[in-house]
Order: sequence, then structure tokens, then C-alpha cells
Amino acid sequence: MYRTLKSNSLYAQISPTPRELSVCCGVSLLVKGEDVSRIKEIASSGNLNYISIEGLNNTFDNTRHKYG
Amino acid sequence: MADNQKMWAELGMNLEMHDMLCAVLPGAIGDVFMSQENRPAAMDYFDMVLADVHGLRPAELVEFRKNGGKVFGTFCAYVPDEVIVAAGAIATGLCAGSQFWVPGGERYLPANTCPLIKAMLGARFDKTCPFYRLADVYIGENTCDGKKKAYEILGTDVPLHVMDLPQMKRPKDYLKWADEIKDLKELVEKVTGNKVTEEKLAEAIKLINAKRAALERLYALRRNKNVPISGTDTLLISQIAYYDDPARFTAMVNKLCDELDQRVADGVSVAEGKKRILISGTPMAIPNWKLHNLVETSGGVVVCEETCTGTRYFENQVDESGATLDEMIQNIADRYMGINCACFTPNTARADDVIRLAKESKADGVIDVNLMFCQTYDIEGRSLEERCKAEGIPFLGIETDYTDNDAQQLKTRIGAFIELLG
Repeated sequence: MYRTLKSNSLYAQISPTPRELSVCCGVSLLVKGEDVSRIKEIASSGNLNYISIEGLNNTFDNTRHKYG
Repeated sequence: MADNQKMWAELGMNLEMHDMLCAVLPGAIGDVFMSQENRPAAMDYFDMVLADVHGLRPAELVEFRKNGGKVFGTFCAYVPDEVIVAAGAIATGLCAGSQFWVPGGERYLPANTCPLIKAMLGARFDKTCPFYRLADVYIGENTCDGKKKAYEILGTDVPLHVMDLPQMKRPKDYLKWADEIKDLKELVEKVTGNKVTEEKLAEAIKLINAKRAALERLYALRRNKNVPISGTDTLLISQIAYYDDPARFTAMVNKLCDELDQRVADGVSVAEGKKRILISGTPMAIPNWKLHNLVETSGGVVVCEETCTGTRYFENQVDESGATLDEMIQNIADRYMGINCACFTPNTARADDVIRLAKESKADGVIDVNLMFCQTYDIEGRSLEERCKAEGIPFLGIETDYTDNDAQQLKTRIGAFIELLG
């Protein structure tokens, strides 16, 4: 999925699955909201599997300085 | 998505507690890594390893063990992976870089112990790290009093072998370290049932040398005027070096370096106008990204780390000309004794390294970062500062731990230091 999105010049960032979406951690793709319908089309035509596409109201803040 | 929960349960992990770590790490990764701009595309591999840090590699280790393979957990850059690999086993670093594990360690250790050591014990006894569950045998080393005594406690819960690292660098100490490596060889042979042959050890030496060469290449690229990769991303790579499959890791670092070569040719910089900082001091085990994040959000870019998660891990190669096992083991001993850790006395070569690296990486300043209660590095801070000042290199000494409590104070100090660099 990652490679296909990249080859279609779409933004995709490999990222940890937010805890709100899965208790297993694991890998997710961070994509842009405006690309979702195009991504669904690409996944459908290329038989690419994904569990779900979810939107979260999270922001990245490099000055938060919380490290876990 | 693999069922990590099932794997963790089978490893006897404390799922409820581990879930608390899973809850905070994605946010920290987003803030520290994904907020960066213009990252190299080939960071995607390392992002993936990090994104599923407790899933992907542990699943490989589970499979390896199912087929009878043995995993050796290590804590230090002095433990030679070559010998473990030559016995057909896997060496994995045991991460101890999160405050999450510290309270668990404080149940067993005095509070005034360094956070890395406390995190080691917390990760094991709280059952919240799959790597600590997957290592069949832990290989410790007496690089400091805190670790030495902590290993006694850790050894009550898991098979543990301590290597007696000499603390001086006389000719007899090099021979002594070779003897310790022979003991390690006997141990891994016994645990794995596999003989370390001349052929296997020669192959393993080449494999780990290639890994070190890839890291050396990566660090050399950071010396360019246009810095092609952030220090934060490079730190992550150095941390992953400790536990990833060595051949795959080497290939991925070289792939990244190919991209960085192009960036250098194209004059691409991730740090336009930022001050170049060399960080020296104590190791930054995963997920300790605090100092890099603070420096790189305060007008600086980290261009080199003189740490165990930096140059100490990969500088100098094992001489590949050894023909017999004894020669190869002595060559391994000689390479590892070349690491300049503050546990040695005298250790003036470490200050020489810092000065050399500062010059090579064209650093505008040195920030010496020591984990709280790390006495040997803390004491060396003074002489290191004097050496840097004598060379006209601006110097800032910092003592910190894994908590977020001092982040804003450190940011003020680091920001002021970088501002003074002009």
C-alpha cells in the first residue's frame, strides 16, 4: 500500500497506529484527508488490503517535549 | 496487522501495563519524528521498525526461537556481536531508554541510580518489553558499579553472564579482554550447541564490519556543509542498530546513504542556517530522543554523537586478517578495547575523540550530556570542558534523566547556548 501510494505521488507516512485505533500498536499509514477517496479507489483497483481508514484530531507538535 | 497482543501474552508480558506504553509512544513518535520536514525517503524503513518496535522484530525472534535458535540480550557497545552471530545465534540490544520503566527499577535499586540501569530492571521485572522476554541469556559487562550490582539482581530472574571488562588499557588488559571473549565464545557454544568455527567467526567479523562501515558512511555524510539528515533521524538509526538483523540493517543504511549522496550533490539541507552541534556523553537508548529533539527545535542540528549510540558503536573495524580463532578473537578484543568509555582510567583518548570529531563534523559547539548519577561521565565532563575550551570549541554540560520535567529548563539553556554561537 505504501509503495503504491508513493508511486501515485500521494503523501503517505509510515507511523505507529495510534492507541485510540488499536491496542496492538502496529503500523499504519498516515495519509492526507483530501486523498482518502483516491486512496480507496487505488486500494480497490489494486486489491490492496487495509483494516480501515480513520480520521483523528491529533496534531504533531515538536515543542511538546513529551517523550513517553 | 499481526496480532501483537497474542504474541505479547504468550511471552508472559503484563499487557495491561504495557498498554500504557503503547498509549504514549505513538504521540511521542509523531511529535519527534513526523513533525520534521524534508526527511529522506529511505527513512521509511526505520520508521516502520520504530512504528512496530514491539511487534516486527520480536515476531522474527519468536520464529527464530521456535526453530531452536537462541537469542542473547546485550546492554553495551563492548559486547562483541561477532561471537554470538558466529554461533548461529542472534544478539539483540535490550532497550532501556524510557521513563516508563524507571519506577519499576526503583523497586529494586536506590533512587540515585542512573535511569538507564533502573529502566533495565523495570523493563524486565514489570514484563513490559518483549525483547527482555525473548532473550534466552543476558550478557552483562562491568562498565560501572551500578550495572555490576544491578546484574546481580537481574540474574535472579534470567540466565545472565557478566563479562569482566578491564578498566585500564595496558597490553595485559587487551589480553585479558580476549580471554573474556573466549569465555563468551564457550558460553554461546554451550547454549546454542553450535561450534564457533574459524570460518563462521571470519564471516561474522565481515558482517559486523560491514554494519559499522555503513554507519561510518552515514556519519561522514553529516559532515557536509548542507546536512542531508537530521540528528534525530540518525539517532534513531543508531538505536535500531542494536537490535535489527545486521545484514538487512546494513543494506537499509547503505540505501539511505545512496539517497543522502544525491542530497549532498543537490545541495539539499535539512538544517539551513542552524548551528552544528556535537553531542558527547552517555548512551541514548531507544526511546530516549529528548536531547536531540530539544537541540533541533532550538536552532541547532546535531551533526555527530560521541556516545555509545553514536561513534563509539561503529568507529574502528576488526582486523579481518586473523587466520586462527585465537588471532580473530584477539583482533576482536583489540577493536573493542579501542572504544573510549569513561569507565576506563586514564581516558584522555575520549577527549581526543571529541575534539577530532568536533573538527571533522565542523561543529559550532559541543553539548556534553550525562545521565543523572552516571558518575564516571559526570566527572569527565570537567576535563572535557577544559579540553574543548583550550581548542576554542564552545561547550555546554548537561545532566538529565528520562523525565520531561526539565525539558523547558533545558530548552532555555540549549537555546541560549546556541544563540551565543553567533
